Amino acid sequence: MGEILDLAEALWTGKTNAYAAHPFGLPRGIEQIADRTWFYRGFANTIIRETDDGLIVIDPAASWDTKIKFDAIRGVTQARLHTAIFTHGHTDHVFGVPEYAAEAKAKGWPLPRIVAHEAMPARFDRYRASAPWNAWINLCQFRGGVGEPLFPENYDYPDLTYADRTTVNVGGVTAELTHARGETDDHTYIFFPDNGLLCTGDLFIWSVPNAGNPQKVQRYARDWAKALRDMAGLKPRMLTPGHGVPIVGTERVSQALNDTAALLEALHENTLALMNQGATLDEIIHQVQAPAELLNKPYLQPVYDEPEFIVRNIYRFYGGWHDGAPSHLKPVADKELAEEMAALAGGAERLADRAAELSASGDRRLACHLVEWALDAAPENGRIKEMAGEVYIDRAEVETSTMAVGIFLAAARALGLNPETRLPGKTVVHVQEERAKREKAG
Amino acid sequence: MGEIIETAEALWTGQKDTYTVHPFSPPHGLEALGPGTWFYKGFSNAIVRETNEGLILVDPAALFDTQPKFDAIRAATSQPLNTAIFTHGHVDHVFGVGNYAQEAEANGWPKPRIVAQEALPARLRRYAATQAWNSHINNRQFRGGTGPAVFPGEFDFPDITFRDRMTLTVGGITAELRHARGETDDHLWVFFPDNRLLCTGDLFIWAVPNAGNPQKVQRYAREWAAALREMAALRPEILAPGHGFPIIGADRVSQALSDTAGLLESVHEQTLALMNKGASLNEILHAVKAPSDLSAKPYLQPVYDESEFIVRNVWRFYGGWYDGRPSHLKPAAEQTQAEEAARLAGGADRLASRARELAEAGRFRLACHLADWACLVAPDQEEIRRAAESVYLARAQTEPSTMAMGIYLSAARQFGPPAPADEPPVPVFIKQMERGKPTTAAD
Repeated sequence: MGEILDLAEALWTGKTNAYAAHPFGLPRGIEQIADRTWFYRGFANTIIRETDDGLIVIDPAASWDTKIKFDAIRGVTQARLHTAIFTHGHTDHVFGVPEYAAEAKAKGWPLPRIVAHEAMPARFDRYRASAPWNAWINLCQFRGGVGEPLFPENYDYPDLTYADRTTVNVGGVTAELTHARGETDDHTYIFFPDNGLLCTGDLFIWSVPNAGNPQKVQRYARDWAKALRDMAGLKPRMLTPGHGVPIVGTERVSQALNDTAALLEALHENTLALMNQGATLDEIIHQVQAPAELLNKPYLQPVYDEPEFIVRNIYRFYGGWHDGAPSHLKPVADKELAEEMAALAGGAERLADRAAELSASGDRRLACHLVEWALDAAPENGRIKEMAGEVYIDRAEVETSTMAVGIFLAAARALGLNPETRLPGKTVVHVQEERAKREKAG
Repeated sequence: MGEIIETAEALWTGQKDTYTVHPFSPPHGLEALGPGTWFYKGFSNAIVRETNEGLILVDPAALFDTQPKFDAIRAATSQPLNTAIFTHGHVDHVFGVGNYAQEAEANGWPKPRIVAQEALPARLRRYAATQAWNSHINNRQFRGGTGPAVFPGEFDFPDITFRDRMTLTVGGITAELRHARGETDDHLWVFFPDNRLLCTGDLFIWAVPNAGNPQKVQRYAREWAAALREMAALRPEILAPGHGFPIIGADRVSQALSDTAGLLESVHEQTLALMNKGASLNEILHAVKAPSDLSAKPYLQPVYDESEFIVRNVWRFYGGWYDGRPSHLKPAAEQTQAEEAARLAGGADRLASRARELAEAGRFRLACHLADWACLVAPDQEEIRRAAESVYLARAQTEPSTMAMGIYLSAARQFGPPAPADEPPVPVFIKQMERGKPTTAAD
């Protein structure tokens, strides 16, 4: 076994965990996982199958690692790219084809084709219309607000799309593509009946599924769970996920898929039941809990997304944007509420002092509300800014997920603080891994 | 001219307005729009066309008016129902086929068929899974919390569905059906080239488009606007809307469609531009304004939905559920926030009296936050509940839209004394009409 499959074994058996070896983390590189089949473990993963008529490559590259992946793949096989399959339209999955197209032109090979679900072009259109917005939210999500906001504006649109399911045959190898709304509306999973390989895309990522993502569009917990059950029904021998490491062996694959489905089903059912009882969103997010035995699984840690956020997306799927609190329907401007709270408290500084006290005593949720009122009531007060930044860093210290850590780090940075003295790391994933190492050591 | 066409004329020319003649309100009844063509003005509208092989019926009835619509239509024409078209899956549009099916069976006629867009069945299945939820929210939306709104659990599913477009020919009459996401994901509009009749469904309803609805699923402002532009390009002679009154004359129809598109485009563009600048949702809500020339149009009053709510759905389409305020990512329970606010204020009663004071000064938005908190902290204190009730009753009187008035009346009902058991439910639009155009603008 190579380093990647070794890590997979260590994660499954509990010798390490997803906090210390985050699904988006290291090691990276290519490893053979079956006959004429390779797995590139990157920030997002790439799967390569060699056939007698060229390669099938699933999720060729992210927008920033096209060259690295191309070179690694060319280090193991010289077969031309026949078909690229995009599992979904996220920008860490849909780049890299031009490298192969340029190669094909140079060598006089037929151009590679791209196969994807029919909803993908509309997603790319939306990304182009909202590129600065997406650049900003990704800066929060992945980098905690550090660096330049970047988001692609040009995409390789698919040559061939399908609606519900399709079969791709290349050089004697058959790939069965099935559409399933899940992380996105355009998601595909791929099964190779000949060697029992399942490519889940981001429907499995060694974490609580990213069905909650605070800053991104609607996700589909119920359809997602059904797709996982359907995949388990195929009895795959190996699972290659969109992020994280492979799972090898029919039993393990089945368990991982079914447990993830069960987590989504429980959140979905509990949320829907409370909606049907007329509960408000506030009541629902504080009541619904993921089943504890599932949250113990090594592949279901809230290290990237978390159950509370999934509840939000279920509410959003069935309900409106209104959360059921009448004052939130047409809310007051943040500043006006903040000034009122400062007046009631006897000044913005009193609010900030109280926030620091709450944060120190562990009531970090409430502390954030108070410190924001203080900030909005006295936006030029340097002491309050600094206190607010520290309250956000306090919060980032205890949050488990990339989503939450990223947003709180970005909030601290927006106030001019540098969180790295307390939480070192260049990216949010790195911050999480460093924190896990410190916790293990100390 | 009958009463319905006369009302349409009075609304267009400004002799009446939609605050006093709400698009969902009476007069209800059937009127001819042309040879073999009728319009039933109801809570929602039905459109009837005779052909040589039976009727085409667009949106046969709501859940609650199948019999009056059937009887009115049968008084005008005895043709069998050939094809029912559902413009979208809302429960005020997809009932009534049962009456015609029974009639067909009794008379030995062929069973009528239902045509709809292909996303409609999934909607009806979702409704069945969320029947109780939908009853709760419709009770707030339409009845201000005064009575159990009944939401159905069983539906007539379409026999024929299509994806993008479909041409339907029945007994020599052609209907062009086009899919357009707008109020719903399963929405279609219908154009009859022979008499240039356009049936918009709820893509036009004599009000700010219902692209914002606070309690319902995603709506699609941008695609909606594109559909309205496409309709206008056909130069229809008559527009038969999903709610409200017909518009007659190609110029008027074109103007109404284009203005509505203009409103949606403006709200969409402003919102997206601010998102692309990194603004928070709260900043965007308070910054985006509908163009004032469009807001002055008689068919674009915020009597049902309102622009601020459309902003919410544009945000929701491009963005996540997170509003950009870090404390709101994983918020403290409202109860915890309320207790802290009461502590800072010196007690829940201080919050409540401050809420009253703010409401009296017309600062309803802020007043409601304090009132909600006061009631969470002291749910059993009669005086505090009464203060919250009065704040919400006063606010309801200032709000132009059915959506806002319904939710604030429900809040008042929730905080106020229990309703008498025999109290009849009063539709929110009736309360709006009793009030007329609000004299105090909502803050």
